Amino acid sequence: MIDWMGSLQILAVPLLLTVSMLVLVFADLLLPAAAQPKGNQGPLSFRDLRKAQAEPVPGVQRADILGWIALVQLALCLAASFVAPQGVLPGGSYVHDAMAVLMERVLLVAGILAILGAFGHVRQSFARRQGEFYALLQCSLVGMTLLAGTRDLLLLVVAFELMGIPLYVLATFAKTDKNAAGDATPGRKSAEAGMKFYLVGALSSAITLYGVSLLYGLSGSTHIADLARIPSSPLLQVASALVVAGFGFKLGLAPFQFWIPDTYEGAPTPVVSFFSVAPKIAGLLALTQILLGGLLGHLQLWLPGLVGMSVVTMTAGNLLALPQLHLKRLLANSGVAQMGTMLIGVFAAATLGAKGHGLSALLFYFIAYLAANTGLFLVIETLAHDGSEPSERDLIASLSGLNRRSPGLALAALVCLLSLAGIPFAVGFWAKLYVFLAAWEAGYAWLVLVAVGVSVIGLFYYLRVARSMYLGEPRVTTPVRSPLTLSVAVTACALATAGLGLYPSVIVEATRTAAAAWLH
Amino acid sequence: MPTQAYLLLSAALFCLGIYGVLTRRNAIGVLVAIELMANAVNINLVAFSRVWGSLTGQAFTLFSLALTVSEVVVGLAIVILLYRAHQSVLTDSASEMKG
Repeated sequence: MIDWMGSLQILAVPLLLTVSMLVLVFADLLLPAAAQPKGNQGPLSFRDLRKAQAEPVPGVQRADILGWIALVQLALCLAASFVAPQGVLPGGSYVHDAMAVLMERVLLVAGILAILGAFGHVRQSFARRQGEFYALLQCSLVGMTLLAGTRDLLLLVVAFELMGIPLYVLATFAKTDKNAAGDATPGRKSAEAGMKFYLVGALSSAITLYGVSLLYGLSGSTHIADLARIPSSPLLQVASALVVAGFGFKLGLAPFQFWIPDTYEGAPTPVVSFFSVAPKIAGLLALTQILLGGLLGHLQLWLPGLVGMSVVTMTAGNLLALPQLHLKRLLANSGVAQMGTMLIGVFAAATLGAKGHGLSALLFYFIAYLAANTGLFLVIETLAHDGSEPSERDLIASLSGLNRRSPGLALAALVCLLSLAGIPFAVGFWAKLYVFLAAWEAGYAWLVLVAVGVSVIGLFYYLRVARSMYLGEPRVTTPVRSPLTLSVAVTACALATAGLGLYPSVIVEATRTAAAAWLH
Repeated sequence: MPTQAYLLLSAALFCLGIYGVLTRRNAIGVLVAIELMANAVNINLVAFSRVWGSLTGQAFTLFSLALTVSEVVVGLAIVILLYRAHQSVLTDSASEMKG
C-alpha cells in the first residue's frame, strides 16, 4: 500500500511550484488585458503586435500584479520547504533529505531575486508577455528543485530538461531591441543568444542521454545507486565520458564554454542573473549525484578527465575574462572560472567521502556564488535602467565614477566583486578557502596551488571594474535611478555577501548537516 | 538478431548526428542532426530493455521521445525568431557577438 499523502508531502515544494505555475498562466489569461493598443479591434498582424510590444503602454500596472503573485508564490514555496517532511518516495527515485531541503531553499531564493530584479525590465520590454515570463521561470525552478533530491536516472533526465527548456525561451525573450533612435528593431542579439544556448543545450542533452542509456544498459536499472554494481569495462568508460562531456557543455566547463559569453551578452540581464547561477548549481548537483552516488567505485574512469577539465576551466575562464570591456562577458568568463573552482569540491568529496569536507564546501560555494554573482548582474541591470547611452550599455565604462553618483550602489557592487575575487572577508573568500582546504586534505595540493595562482589573475579584472567605479570620471553626476524592487534585490545580495563573510558560521553548520545527510 | 547489431546501429546514428551538428550550417539541419542523436538513444534504450527483459527501458524511451519533441518545438520557434531577426537560418549569419 502506497502512502499517497506522505509522498505528496515529501514532494511538496516541486508540486507547489507546479501549481503556482499553472495559477500564474490562468491568472495571465483571466486578468483584464490592460495593455491592448487602442483603436485596433481587428485581428492583429505580427507587425502590429511587434509595435505594441515595443511601446510601453502608459499606465499599465498589470505587469506588477503578476510579478507580485509570482513572488508571493515563491515565498510560499520557501515557507513550504520548512514544513515539508523529509523522507524517501516509494520506489526510491526521489529523496527529500537535508541536502535537498537546503538546495531547494537556495534555488528558490535565486528565483525570488530574479523576479525582484526583473520587475522593471518586464514592464519596459515585454509588458504583454509577463505572465509567460514568470511562469517559465517557475517551470524551470520545478526542474531544479527536483534535481536537488533525485536518485534515479529517469527523473534526473526529465528534471534536467524541465529546467533547461524554459531557459531557452527566457534567453530569447527580448524579441525587440531599441536602436539609437528609440525605434523597435527585431532583437538580433537575443535571437542569436537563444540560438546558441539552444543548440548547445540540445546537443548536450543528446550526449548526456546517450551516456545515460549506456549506463542503464550496463546496470539494468535506472537507480543511480545501482550503477555501483557495474563491472569496469571500456563501455563504462565511454558512458561516463559522454555523461561528463554532456554536463560539461551545459555547465560551461572548458573546452565547452565558448557559448557562455555570447549567450549572456544577448539575453535579458535579469534572466542572465538567474541562469548564470541557479541552473549551474542544480546541474553540478546532478553531476555530483551520478558521479558520487553511482560511479564512485570507478573513480579512475572519470576523475583524471574531470581534474583536467577543472584546471583548463579555471585557467581559460580567468584568461578570457582579462581583456573584456563588456561587463556581462567579463562576468560570464569569471563565472566559468568559478565553475572550475567548484569542481574541486567534487574531487575532494569523491576522494575522501564522508571523512572530508568536500561536499559541504561545495554547498557553501553555491551560496556564496549565488549572492555575489546575482548581485553583480542586478547592478548591471540597474545601470541599464538608468538609461545609459546605448553605445555604452553594459560596458565597464558605464560604471565609471559610480561612487560619485550612487555611493550605495557602488559599495554593493564592490562587495560582490571582492567576494568573487575571494578577498577577505567577503563570503567568497571563505567559499574558496573551504574548497581549497578540503582539496588539500584529499591530497590535491598541486591543484590548490594552480587554483590560487589563477585566482590571482582574477584579481586584475575584478579590481579593474572596481577602479572604474571609484576612480573613473562619471559621464553624468545625477544619482542612478532604479525601481525599488531592484534596489531591494541588490541590497539583499550585498548584505548577504558581506554578512555571511563576517559570520560564515551561520551557514557552515547547515551545509555540513546537508552534506552528512547525503553521504550516508 | 544479436543485441550488438542494434547497439552498432545506434552508435552509427549517434556519430552521424554528431557529424551533422559539426558540419551543417543550416540551423534546421543541425536540429535534424540532433534528432538523429536522440533516436540513437531510443534504439539503445529499447535494445537494452530486451536484454534485461524489463520494461524500464521502453518506459524510458517514451519519456525520451516526449522530451525530444518538446525540445524541438522550442528549437523551431527559436529558428523562426532567428529568421525574423537575421532574414536567414544559417548559423553563420548569427555571429554578431564575438570575443
